[in-house]
Amino acid sequence: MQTNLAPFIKDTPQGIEADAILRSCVHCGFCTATCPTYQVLGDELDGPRGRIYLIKQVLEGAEPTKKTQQHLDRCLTCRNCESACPSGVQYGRLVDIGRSVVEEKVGRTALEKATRATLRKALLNKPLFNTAMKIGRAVRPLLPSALKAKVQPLRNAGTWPTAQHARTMIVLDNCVQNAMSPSIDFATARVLDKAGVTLKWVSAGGCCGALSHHLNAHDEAVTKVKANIDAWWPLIEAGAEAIVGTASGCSVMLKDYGHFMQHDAAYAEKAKRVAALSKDVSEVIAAEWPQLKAKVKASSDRISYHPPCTLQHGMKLKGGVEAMLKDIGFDLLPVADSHLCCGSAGTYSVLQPTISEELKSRKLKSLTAEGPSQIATSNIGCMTHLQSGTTLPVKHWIELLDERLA
Amino acid sequence: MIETWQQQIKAAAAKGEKLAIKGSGSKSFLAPVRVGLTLDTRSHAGIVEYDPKELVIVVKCGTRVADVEKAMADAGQMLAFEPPHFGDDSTIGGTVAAGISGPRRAYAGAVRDFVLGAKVIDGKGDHLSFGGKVMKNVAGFDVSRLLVGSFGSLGVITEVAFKCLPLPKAQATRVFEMDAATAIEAMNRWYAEADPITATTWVDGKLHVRFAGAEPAVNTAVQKRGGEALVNDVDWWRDWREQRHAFFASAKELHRVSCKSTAPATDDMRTAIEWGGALRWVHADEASAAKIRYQASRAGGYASVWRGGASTHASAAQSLSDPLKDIHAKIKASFDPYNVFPSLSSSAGEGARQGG
Amino acid sequence: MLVFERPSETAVASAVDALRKDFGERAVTSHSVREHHSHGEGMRDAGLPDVVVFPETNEEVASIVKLCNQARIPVIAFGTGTSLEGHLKALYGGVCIDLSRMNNILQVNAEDLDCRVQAGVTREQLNAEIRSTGLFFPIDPGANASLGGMSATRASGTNAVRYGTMKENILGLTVVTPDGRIIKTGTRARKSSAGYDLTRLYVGSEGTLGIITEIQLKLYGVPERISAAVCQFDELSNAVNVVITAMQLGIPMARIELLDEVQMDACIKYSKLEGFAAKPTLFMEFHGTDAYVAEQIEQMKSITADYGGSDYRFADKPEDRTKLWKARHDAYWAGMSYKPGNQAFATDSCVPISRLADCIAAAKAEIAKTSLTCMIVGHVGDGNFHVQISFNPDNAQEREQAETAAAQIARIAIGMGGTCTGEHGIGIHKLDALKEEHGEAVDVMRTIKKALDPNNIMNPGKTIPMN
Repeated sequence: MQTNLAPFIKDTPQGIEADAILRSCVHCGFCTATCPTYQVLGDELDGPRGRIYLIKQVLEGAEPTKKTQQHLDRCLTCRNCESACPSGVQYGRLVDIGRSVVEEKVGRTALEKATRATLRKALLNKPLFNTAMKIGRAVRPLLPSALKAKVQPLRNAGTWPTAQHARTMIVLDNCVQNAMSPSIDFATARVLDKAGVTLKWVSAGGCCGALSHHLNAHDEAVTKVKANIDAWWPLIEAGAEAIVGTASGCSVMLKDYGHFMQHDAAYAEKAKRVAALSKDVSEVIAAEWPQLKAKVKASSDRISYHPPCTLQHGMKLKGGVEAMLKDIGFDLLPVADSHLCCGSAGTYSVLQPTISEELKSRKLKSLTAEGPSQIATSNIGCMTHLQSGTTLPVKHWIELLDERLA
Repeated sequence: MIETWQQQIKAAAAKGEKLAIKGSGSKSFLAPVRVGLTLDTRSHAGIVEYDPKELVIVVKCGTRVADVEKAMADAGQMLAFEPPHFGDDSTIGGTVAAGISGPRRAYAGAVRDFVLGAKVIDGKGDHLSFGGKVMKNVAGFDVSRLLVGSFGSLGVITEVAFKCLPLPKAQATRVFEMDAATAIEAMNRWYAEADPITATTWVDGKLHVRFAGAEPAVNTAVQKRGGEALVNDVDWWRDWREQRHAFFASAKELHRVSCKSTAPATDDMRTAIEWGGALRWVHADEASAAKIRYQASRAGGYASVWRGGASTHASAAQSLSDPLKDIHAKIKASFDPYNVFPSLSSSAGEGARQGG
Repeated sequence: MLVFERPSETAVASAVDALRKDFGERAVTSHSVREHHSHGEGMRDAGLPDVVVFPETNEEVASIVKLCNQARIPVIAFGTGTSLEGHLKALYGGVCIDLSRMNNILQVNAEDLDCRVQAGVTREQLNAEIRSTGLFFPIDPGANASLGGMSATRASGTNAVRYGTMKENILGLTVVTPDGRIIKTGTRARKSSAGYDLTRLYVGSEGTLGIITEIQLKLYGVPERISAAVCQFDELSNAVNVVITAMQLGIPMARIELLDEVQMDACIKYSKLEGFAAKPTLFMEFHGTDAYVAEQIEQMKSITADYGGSDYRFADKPEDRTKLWKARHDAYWAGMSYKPGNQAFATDSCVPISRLADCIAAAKAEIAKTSLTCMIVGHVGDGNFHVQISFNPDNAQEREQAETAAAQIARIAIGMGGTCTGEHGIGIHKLDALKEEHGEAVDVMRTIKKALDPNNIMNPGKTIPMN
């Protein structure tokens, strides 16, 4: 596509990147058909091609409106479109740039600002969030059913293995996961222990930075990223093999550290190193699978698996989890439209509840079509979102593995 | 010749006179009532261009259909819409103007599907060229196909370019004794199952199916469907196409019913069925004509008098709606602003409009 | 009166108000929506409609057209926006009627092998919905276009040799005339027509005579066996000669498509095709019974062997075939992404099959005079091929070279007894070529246009040169 960016952005790093992305798009529209919000809303401007066009107009100097912002806000950033795109358009990066420029120009209403700030603060403030979840669980029997769904009973996390192996890895301290479902990290630690790896947990205040980044709080995101790098650096120097993300939404951000910090002289190199070491838990387990497999008891349970967008589109990791689950005998049921987003998409479920709910009910319909006994996924966001719409247990797949450790 | 005609038309236009375009007259029974000086197309005859490798033949209007078919057969090709001649000297111009196709119509396509381009002298005396010699052309309005079935009401068709198809390598006709309802079901189903069918006719309690194409395909179909072989089937189909079959000879008044191919048979009147069920021929009399029309419209089609009978009644009963009439008048005026040529509605035989 | 300039602002404003009142949120004036409706997939030039309306019924379309006729405001019908010749550009502003909400399949008559659909139904939607009946609709232009748009542009696709184009497959239409009346052409019975064959007149009229709102279409049984094959050649002329021979022998190919070496290179990269070389290539497909398909393939193999073709690579599994034909359908986009940032347009010549090799050679010679990147792809069984010319839009010289070459290629085809457009249509870009091709006959087309649309409100400035 021909481009002619406006002077305000033309020669900035953002502008140069956006220009290259825009030029790679030939406007064929294959993305549109696969876009979840386009499927729900049916408006060209609520699909990737339409959004790319809107962003192009803004970057070429057109004044964006509230409506422009709404179309960009409605994007789930699931990046399904990137998987569909034959030209390799990096839509995710473009929409980040587009959103920040539009927000600068259009601003946010006081109410929007307040909602976004509260959301960020609440989710990022560990003590507060922990307390909220604790209170929620304590009074759960008294809650109305709609709210009850959001606050699930806590699964017993068990104990962290104490063995000290020569091989070590670092686990990211998630912002919300440990409050909502601490059993995931514990399960990961136990499974890796069986593989002869000690998983180290270092607190740097929590959060990979994705949450702030996606709510356009750039400086806050940078602070988080730097804190993580600083906290991990000694362990990396000491030979940690990998930084493990147990939520695919975090893993994809960790892998982007290098790109995210590329213009920061002090941290660019370290960030690149961290990004290179970052792995989703499914990659780490797959590498150890030959020796681990024998230590996991077989199961023939009927389950369905939802691959999160951050896993299959963001990191392009497809089929790895499914292969391991099948390998130990799980009856992995076929799921229609497994490439589509469940509607969770980070804070999206709170900011765009209508579309999010519609996508959730569509997703649950396909996940439960064949009658599974439980549902597995790879990301805390999808997990709690889906759980709020079904009575079937929704778990992280690593928990299923952990349950079957011999 | 063209220039003479142009002058004749210009003169008629200037004087407010009428001209009637006529070939051999083989399809006059279908044509609108014609008055005025006759413009005989047979004086403009001959094949303009025919290189079999191009799969296109360009022919002057007065050329005999038989001559065109002979030349094409010599090169292993055919006019795939299998035009009925209705007379030894039937012309190409008349065939296109009447827009009538034969038994292969339901399977290969109609006249209009094989007309790639045409030249025409309009009512102002201008000699114009529409379409061309290529298989696909979307340049401007599809006027050459509008001329098909226009019965000389828009102008003199002087030259036509047709798409040619190779003659099938093998052909076999099988005959099946069955009632009309069974025949209708069989015709539709076999075609949907992709048998290489090129013609179907049910008459006198027998279904005739012509298979043609590559030899293995024809053999497979014959084995699969069974039936009795029809010897000398080429002659049988020619007689049927030319309406020389006994069924036609015995009709006092013959109605032509165009309907959906699965429409049920009417068993109380003598009927023949072809085109996979989409065309029915019915023997009628004064009393049954209205009933035939009623049944046709119930079956999603319409009926018209083909030979014999009072066609003007038929015409009145099934005339066009107002907006369509308006559009027809405007099209006619675009070609023939001085009304030199007969109008399509001054019909002598309603069958005229059923072309295709 | 003819609309050759924008209607007055007050006339437009009051029409927009009236449409807003009647259609509420279905009458949209936002810039981005109007921009989206102002172009197809071809070159983009400014020319926005004043309002886009989304009707849901024939009557609603008629009411919009009636209003516009009274106010003398242009009306442009929009399906999915995939035309290539500027058909959708609102030269004089006006009302764009987006038919995408008219997307119901009204009837499927499996026994009669036909169906009736609203204009907004897309070809893929129709095929998905009739799959269980064992029938399919064969016309497949590259894009997933709406059937209304395909009718209005007389579209065709990769299997026209076997199944024809839109014009052979439309049994009847519902059309809203320029004065806002609803007419039906053709009847349910396939082999009939009362009076002039109006269906043929509206099919391909590019929205200049009326708006097609419903279409009755022929359907076909899915063949017992479908086999796709690919054969590669060292020389383009050999591949072309294979096609010419096959057509002259009457081998009933369902599809036979040519890609030159540059196009093949682009497709390999864009569609991630594996195991092919960037060489002149034929994509073929055979339909029929097992025995029949086997015979066709044997015949084709002996022809390709004569012309030095490679061994055949077959794709018999549906998913492999889909991948192959998707790559062919995406050739245009593959060409576009071959040089990021460039623009491209495609010529659309169609010549008698015996002149095909000459015409392609002449087109290539024309391109060789320039410094531009070009690729050739064609539905060669019909004599129709496209030269996609890629150029840098910021470089005035390249743009001019591209336009000159395209015009010259059209002229070469016309000189060989062919046409400047086999399937893309006239739109705004080929008005001059139409005059060159049809001469005085254009006068009659213009007279018909003036007679049927006296106020010239239907897609003005397109298809027929008005002066």
